[in-house]
Amino acid sequence: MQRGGTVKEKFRSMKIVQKKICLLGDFAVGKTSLIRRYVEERFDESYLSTIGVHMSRKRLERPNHFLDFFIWDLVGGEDFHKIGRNYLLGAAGALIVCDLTRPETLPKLAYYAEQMRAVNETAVLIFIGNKVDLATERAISDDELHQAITPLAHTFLQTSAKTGENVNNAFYQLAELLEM
Amino acid sequence: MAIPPTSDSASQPREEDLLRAAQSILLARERERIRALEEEIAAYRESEISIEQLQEKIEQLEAQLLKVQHLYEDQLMDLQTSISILNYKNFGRSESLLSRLSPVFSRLIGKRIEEDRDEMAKTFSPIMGEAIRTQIRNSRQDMIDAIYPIIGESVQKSVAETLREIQRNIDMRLRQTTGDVWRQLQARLRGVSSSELALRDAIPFQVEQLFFIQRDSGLLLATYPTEDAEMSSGMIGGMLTAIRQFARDSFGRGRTGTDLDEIQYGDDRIIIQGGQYAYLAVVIHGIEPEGFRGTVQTFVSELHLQHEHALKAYAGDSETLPALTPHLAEFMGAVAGNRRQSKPLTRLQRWFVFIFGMGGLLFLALSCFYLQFTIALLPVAFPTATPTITPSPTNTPTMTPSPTFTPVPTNTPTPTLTPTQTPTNTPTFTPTFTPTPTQTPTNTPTPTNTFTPTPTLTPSLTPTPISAQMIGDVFTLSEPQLFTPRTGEVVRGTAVTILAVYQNWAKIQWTDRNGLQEGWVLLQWIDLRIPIPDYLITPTPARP
Repeated sequence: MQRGGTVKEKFRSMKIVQKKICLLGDFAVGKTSLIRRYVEERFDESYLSTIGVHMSRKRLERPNHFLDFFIWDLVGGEDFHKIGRNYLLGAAGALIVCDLTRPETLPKLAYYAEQMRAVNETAVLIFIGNKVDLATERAISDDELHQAITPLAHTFLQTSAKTGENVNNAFYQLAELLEM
Repeated sequence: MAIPPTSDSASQPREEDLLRAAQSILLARERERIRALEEEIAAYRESEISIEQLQEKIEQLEAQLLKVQHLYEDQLMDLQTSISILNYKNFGRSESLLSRLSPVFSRLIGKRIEEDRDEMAKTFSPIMGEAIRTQIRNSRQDMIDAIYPIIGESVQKSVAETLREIQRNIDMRLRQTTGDVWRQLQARLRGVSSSELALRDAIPFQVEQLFFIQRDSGLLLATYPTEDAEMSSGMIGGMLTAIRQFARDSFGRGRTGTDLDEIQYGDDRIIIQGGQYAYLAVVIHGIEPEGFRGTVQTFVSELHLQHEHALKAYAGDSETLPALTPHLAEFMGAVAGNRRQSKPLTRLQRWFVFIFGMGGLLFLALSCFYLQFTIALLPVAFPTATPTITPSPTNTPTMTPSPTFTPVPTNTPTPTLTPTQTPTNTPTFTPTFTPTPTQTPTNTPTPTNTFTPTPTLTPSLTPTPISAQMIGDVFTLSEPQLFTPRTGEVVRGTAVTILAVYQNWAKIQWTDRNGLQEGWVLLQWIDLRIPIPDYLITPTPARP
């Protein structure tokens, strides 16, 4: 009991750092699925259309503190233009996602990066190519990815919300970059 | 018929035989009848048994017939359904089919419900909601009529309970505030009755939760109360911020200062007060009191003033934030304190208040009496003395008042003028002291019983005026009082003669281009070369 109490007190005494991060990307690239996989540790096969904003929270235990991610999953595509940049205000970083099976989602990475930069110049950005598990349907090659990402000069990961591949790693790297 | 003769011994058996023979002859028919009847009886008995058997058989047959009839009816119904379906298929007459099928389905459903009620409820429950919605949409009034007896009663109960609660609160407040003069005065000043004010105060109001949230990011800076709010509060902060930003984008249309300031859900509301770097969301239950929003605004402004730098620089690290929760707790305590109901007075306190109130009233009454008495005696205490010039007997013998003019001693002030100087002191001014005849009646006191002070003239001595010089440009007045008619003006350096002195006023006489002038001026404008002699001073009557 005493040991449990000590651990509890230790947790209570640890400071909490809060960060607002955004998930950006075109319509149906898998943003919501990534969050579901990361936050709720599961994958929902049925696609949930994102309307406006969907909010989640994830607490990471860091060496000397807790890091609370407040994840704003923003609607993609044309609807993003309607909601404007206000939802990006105060965000410390963003995961910008494209769909590896849909080549038209690749050029949009630069657009979302620009929107984020307009609000916060120092925001940490990580680019994600999602649905890597669908190897047979893949339409974007590694070379095309590198060509698109290189001018943006940021971290890039290939993930699968379905299998969970690299999902935790993406958020972990975001945390690392935010606290550098 | 001839009968042969017989012997005695042998004749008896023969008689018997004959008798038997006769009987047999005579009773043969009856015997036949009896036998026939017996046979009939036996036959009847046999027939009764067979009827019972027949009846049983008939009942059995009837039961079989009934079964067959039911079977035929079901088969007939099925056949009719089949025929109807065929008719529908053939002729497409849906209405006809429905009218035929409806009783069939109704009967089947009724049977099914009787057999397994739970199963049917489970089957129908998913579509009940949609069915009710459809029914409401299609025939709203019918649904209202149908549901009203249930819903109406529930609503009535709920409203009645709420009204009882409000009534209890009002009664309690009225008991507590009876005699609260300040509250009643406050109510009157607001243009409402004290009962209405009590009603307003009785409306429930409670601050349930406070969230202090960073404006742009939606990160939670502080919340109060903190229990059970750790995990959800952060999300609430984000969602509120998203809603605010959505409202600003959708309805603000680029205008500044058009942020969302209130969200209502059920009986609760969230009042949002924005600041430069953060905003406060106050979750309240009920209707907020007057001035509550102003209080919230002031609180948010004070927080910004005190912690502006920290709020501006906050990037998510809780250690960089000052302790904001105590501020929120203090604010909530202050808000709750304003609404805290006062405890009813004890019996001793009520007696104390009563005695204190009665004492106050008595003191007020005495004060009024004293004031009235003082006002009534004021003319006696402070008579408006009109100093007069006592002429020399030698110059104006007619000025000598008769002793009969002496007023009643009790109301007569002390005589004032007692001239001692001789006119030779200032011979050049002597002629000017001659009073005109018109002055005489006005200066003559009338011995009345009124309280009008009338100085007594004692013309035994001749007054001698003294000379002086003006040290300022002043107006002269007709009476030794301010705001009385002006008689003229005298300039600085003018040589004047002081005729009389009353309090700080002096009656002077001087000569200008219009001739001899008189009037009252304040002594402060006169340069007195010598002390004013007593005979010129009209003493002020003592206060009663």
